[in-house]
Amino acid sequence: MKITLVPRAAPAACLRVWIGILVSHTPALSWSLDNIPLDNARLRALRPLASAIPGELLDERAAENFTGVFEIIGLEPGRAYKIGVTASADGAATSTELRTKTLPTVVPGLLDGTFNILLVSCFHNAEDRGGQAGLFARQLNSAARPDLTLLLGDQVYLDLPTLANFPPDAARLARKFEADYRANWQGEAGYSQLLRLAPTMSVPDDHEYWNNFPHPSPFIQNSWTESGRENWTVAASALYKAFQFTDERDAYFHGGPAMLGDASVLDIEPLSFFLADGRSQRDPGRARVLTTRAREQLQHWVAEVIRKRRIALFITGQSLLDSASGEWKGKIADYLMPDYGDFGLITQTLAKVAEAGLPVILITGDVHWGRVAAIRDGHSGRESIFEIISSPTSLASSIGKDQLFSLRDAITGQPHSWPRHSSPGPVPEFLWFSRFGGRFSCSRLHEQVGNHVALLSFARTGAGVRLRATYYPLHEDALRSKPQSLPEMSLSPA
Amino acid sequence: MYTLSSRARSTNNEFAERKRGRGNTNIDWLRPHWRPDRVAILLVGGTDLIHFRLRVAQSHLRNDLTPSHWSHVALLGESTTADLHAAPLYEISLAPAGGFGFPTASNCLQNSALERYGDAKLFPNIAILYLPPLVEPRTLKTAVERFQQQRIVIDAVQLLLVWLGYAWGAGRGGNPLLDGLGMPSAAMLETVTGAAGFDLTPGLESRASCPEAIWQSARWWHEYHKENKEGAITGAFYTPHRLPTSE
Repeated sequence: MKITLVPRAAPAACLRVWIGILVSHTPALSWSLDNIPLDNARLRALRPLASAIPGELLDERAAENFTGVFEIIGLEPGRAYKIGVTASADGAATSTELRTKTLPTVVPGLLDGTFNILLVSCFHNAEDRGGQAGLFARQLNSAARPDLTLLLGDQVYLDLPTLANFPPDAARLARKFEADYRANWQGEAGYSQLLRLAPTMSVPDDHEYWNNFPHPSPFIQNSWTESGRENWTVAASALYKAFQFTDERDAYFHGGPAMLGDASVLDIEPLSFFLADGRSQRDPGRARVLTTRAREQLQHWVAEVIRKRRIALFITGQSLLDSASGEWKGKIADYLMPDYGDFGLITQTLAKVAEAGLPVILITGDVHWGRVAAIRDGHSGRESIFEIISSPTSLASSIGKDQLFSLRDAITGQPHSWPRHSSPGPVPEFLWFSRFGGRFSCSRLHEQVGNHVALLSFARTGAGVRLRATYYPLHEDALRSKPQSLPEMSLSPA
Repeated sequence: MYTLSSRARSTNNEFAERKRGRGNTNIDWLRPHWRPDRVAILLVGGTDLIHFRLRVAQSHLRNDLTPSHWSHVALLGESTTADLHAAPLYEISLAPAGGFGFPTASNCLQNSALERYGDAKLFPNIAILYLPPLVEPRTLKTAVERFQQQRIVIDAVQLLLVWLGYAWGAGRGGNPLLDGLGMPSAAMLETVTGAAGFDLTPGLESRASCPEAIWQSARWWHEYHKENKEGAITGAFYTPHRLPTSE
């Protein structure tokens, strides 16, 4: 029996913990906080312990991985706690501990430290051979230790290896997907160490399902038929719920249990985060990426950000600065956000924040390179919108493309530090969406090539914040893994 | 090196010009304006060579590219009107009266007294800026103490060395402001007021703090400070010494 605990983001007076237990029967749990047994009044199950593969997808084999999400209430904000769990089953008992912190209610002032957010995306376990992600997690010292980790999509690659023969039925697919998740979430080292650094929040991208989900992909045979897509979707959604879903009891704006496709909102004054799941319920007919519920959540959030004069952080699985990919490129590679019918509504809603003179930070992963773009508002003269991309943490293999890069290096005789990674794409000259004309001009502040994570450090000053972004290359050669800190950015209301 | 333009249509009428009487010292000028209940910042514009170079360096923050009226800024401590000459001053001067000693231990912060800037011939330009009640003297005092131990937040030693290099003309050192390196005393003030919840230079996007940016903030960013519930800077100034001087 093995227990894994992963901290989840929660309101400031709570701790949330995802728990995974490798065992053949549902175990009984007993919890402690700072070595004192927890009574039931302070502990509640957001999702009770259950087989990661739901009963309807279990094949002839018994369940062997049980997951759940629990919440401990009545705590102090910004304080470290030690959570202990003992699981008992079949006459055996196993214990484990997790040291983690509750989130603060406000970003600290300039001389009081920083609120640190770790950005992680696109992790392919098979390519993290040296366990670089885990080694990095061990190296983060207290000043750079994250308070919150944002998982920006492609936390698993369920559709790899490319060209593999995947089983057609949902039950066997669920077994494969559970194994992929287990390797990342419940491994001894590597990615699982990153997950334990700080409370996590996640948005999914296509590889939580399959490449270019929900559209057919030329590389995934299962996606060529409607039944194939349906079986895959059922299995992938089930495992997403078992490992990543928020399990919010009180969904933002709507109330009641959160549904797949809902957004998550977190406030740490003066920052307000909106994590948009633009993938799980994406329309195959390309009418929308967000559900009606999520669009309503977005509109309410934007109104609240403006009313409270907050700094908006909009987190997505794909970039909003992309241009539409076009019909054929979209079908073969990826459809991008502007390829969907609700892109105009999303960007026009977000534009209200910018028009109100409030800073906006767009955060995403997906593209397999890192970039920081600054967008200056011609009305206020201020750099008021930033886009920060952190991708990948461990680059997935790409058949054909990887071999071409190897051939290039062999011909030129100039080996690259990152032979398989591509260079960042350009930013548009102007923020082209939402009929802004030439009001918002874009510039590129930083480019990052190679496997990495990024750390955003916020400190409060006046009505705004100072932001320092640091990119940490994840390379086995220490000389190539020196962190790169960008000049401090100032984000203030105009 | 640019600063943002404020949207205010007129200058801050709570920060007004008050002339200095003939033969009066700067202490004499300050006495009728002194407010012991507020956090006070002193701006001075000096005439010696170092102060001249510092004023020229800040011309890039001015639309007309003329040198700034100001060469130095300092934080004033608590004092009574009668003892103003001895009012404690917290600063990072490029020419401290007692020398630098080993500045690293205090992140370059120097303690002196207001009388150091009393001579109206050496420092003809003077302004007193009062921060709004939001900035409590006790909070700021704590921030000043913490500033001395927080080189990770702002390394004033680095700023001091870079600015000394510029002021003394060492090597090929250029204007540090153009590299986003603020003048040390202004950077210290921006940090401690920021820690107390007040954005001293909302017109700057970088940390290139300097007396000129603080001056522009007092003159033009009053509406911004009010809109953001911080409250405006108040006070008085007198700037008889303008550069370039006319024949």
